[in-house]
Amino acid sequence: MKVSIDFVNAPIPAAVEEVVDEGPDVKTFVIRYSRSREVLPGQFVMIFPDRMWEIPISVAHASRETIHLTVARVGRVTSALFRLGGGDRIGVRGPYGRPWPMDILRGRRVLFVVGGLGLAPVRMAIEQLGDVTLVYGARNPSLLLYRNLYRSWEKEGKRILLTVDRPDGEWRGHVGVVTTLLDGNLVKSHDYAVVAGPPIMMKFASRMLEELGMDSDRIFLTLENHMKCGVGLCGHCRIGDRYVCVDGPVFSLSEIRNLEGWASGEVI
Amino acid sequence: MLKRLTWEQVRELLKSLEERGYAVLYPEKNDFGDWFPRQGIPDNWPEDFSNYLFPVLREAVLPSPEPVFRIEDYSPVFHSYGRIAFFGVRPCDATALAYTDAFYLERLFRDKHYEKRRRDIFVIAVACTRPCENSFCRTMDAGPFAGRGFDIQMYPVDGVWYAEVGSDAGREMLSPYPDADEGHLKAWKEEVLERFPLLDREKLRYPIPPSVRKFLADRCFACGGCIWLCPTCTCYNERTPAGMDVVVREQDACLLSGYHRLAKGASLRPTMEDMMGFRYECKLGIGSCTGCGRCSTTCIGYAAMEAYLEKAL
Repeated sequence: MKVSIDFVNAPIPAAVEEVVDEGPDVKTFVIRYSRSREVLPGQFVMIFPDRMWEIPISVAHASRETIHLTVARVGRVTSALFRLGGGDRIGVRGPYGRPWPMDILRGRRVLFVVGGLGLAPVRMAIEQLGDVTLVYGARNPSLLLYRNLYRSWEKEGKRILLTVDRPDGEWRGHVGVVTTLLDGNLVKSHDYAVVAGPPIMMKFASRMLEELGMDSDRIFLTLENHMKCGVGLCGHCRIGDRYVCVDGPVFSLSEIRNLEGWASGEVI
Repeated sequence: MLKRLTWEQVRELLKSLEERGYAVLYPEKNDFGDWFPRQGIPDNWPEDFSNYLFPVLREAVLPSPEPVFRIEDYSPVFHSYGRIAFFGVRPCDATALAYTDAFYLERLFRDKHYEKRRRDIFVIAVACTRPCENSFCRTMDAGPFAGRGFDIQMYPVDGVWYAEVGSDAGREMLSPYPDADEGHLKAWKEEVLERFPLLDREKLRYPIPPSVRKFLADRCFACGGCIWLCPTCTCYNERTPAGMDVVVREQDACLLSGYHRLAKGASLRPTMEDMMGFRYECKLGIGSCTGCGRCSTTCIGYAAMEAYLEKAL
């Protein structure tokens, strides 16, 4: 690994510009954050709500001056984040991590298999790629993220297949877990697959993609291990001899299989 | 490059380090028989010195807790102890310092907090002449002589202090002293080496057998003692201590369940066996273990390296 970046363990002051409700206990925080490095699809930042500790959050969208972070309220730090509103201060550092392999995916037919909040780390990749099929599932319709974007994505020629586990009265679409939308024809008509979502969903989706004929070198996943630093020093996200924060978070399924020889259990 | 010093010249060298602003620390035994660093110039070399109870070099480069930034304006804090010269560091701990140097300074990100403190540290290792209780340093290529991690390494041979250069700073400090012939030292090293057991390195590899992992997990009290004393255990956590205006990094321990906890209380490694596997993956798989034996000495449950060696070999 090449030395290239000096690391100072301190965030940069940033400000919450807007908070957007995405669903029950899910919000998108638009943060004004000046930075020296461009955010690449699949990368994450470390955020610091005052008097807490830094946590990693995937960047869902980025403009020159802002980053969009979609967050579910699940623990102490995210609860502190949910108390912030427009104008409030927040610490940010990054972006960090190995992004989606856009050079490989660009110009190819890419199948995105995504569950729940997993749409956040793939959103920039979907936006930047052309030939895309999104297979997306959530527990219920209110947990499907970015619903106002689907129409514009479809206008760009992207195909979207939605499913929910538990439909409400108004849901007229497919019902079932996301893997019930996968079949051999769909998989064979794509060159690469990108998988993002809860670990259990990624495990079954990536296995099924492989069974349906997608090579493990052509399946990419994003891991969301616990991290305290984001720069390969604190040790928490280590799997085998790899650190999810600097060697990932994006890995190919074949890379993950190699790690399983090391690790004390299944990686996903 | 090899030099030859008398004990008085060694003391003279330590005094000149003091004149350059270093606090010189040397080993001293307390009333309970444990070794701690003491500041000053020693009158004599303590022949019965085994090793420090604590990994003093790790504590010097990675204090815990360590303030890293102020909450008020997020300005960084670079905590410093000033210049310290450690005289008498054991080769296993010098090797461990080389390991943490590579980890913190020679990977994708270079930690500026570590780097600033590291620049202030001067290491004079003293080669070992007999193995410590529970140690297996020779097997881990970390003793009785160090190959890296020192500015100067000294060999006390029949009243003569041979001194080996390990860095440019070490070369400069040794420049006033006469060159030495390696012949006599070589014979002495061969004789010393014989006293240090060499275990079957092939059996000290990851993955460890499941039955051994279970044996260790069943006996571990999850006190974290092995990790607090390990010279290469540097995993850290981050938090804001109550009532303080700084965020600190502090050492974390992979045998404690909190290390692996995710949001909502989920865990990546929910069982003691999982955590034990994770630890040995680092110590033997990645190869951070130096064989210093501190974990075995402190373990209250017979779950550290001593137990592992007995079960695995």
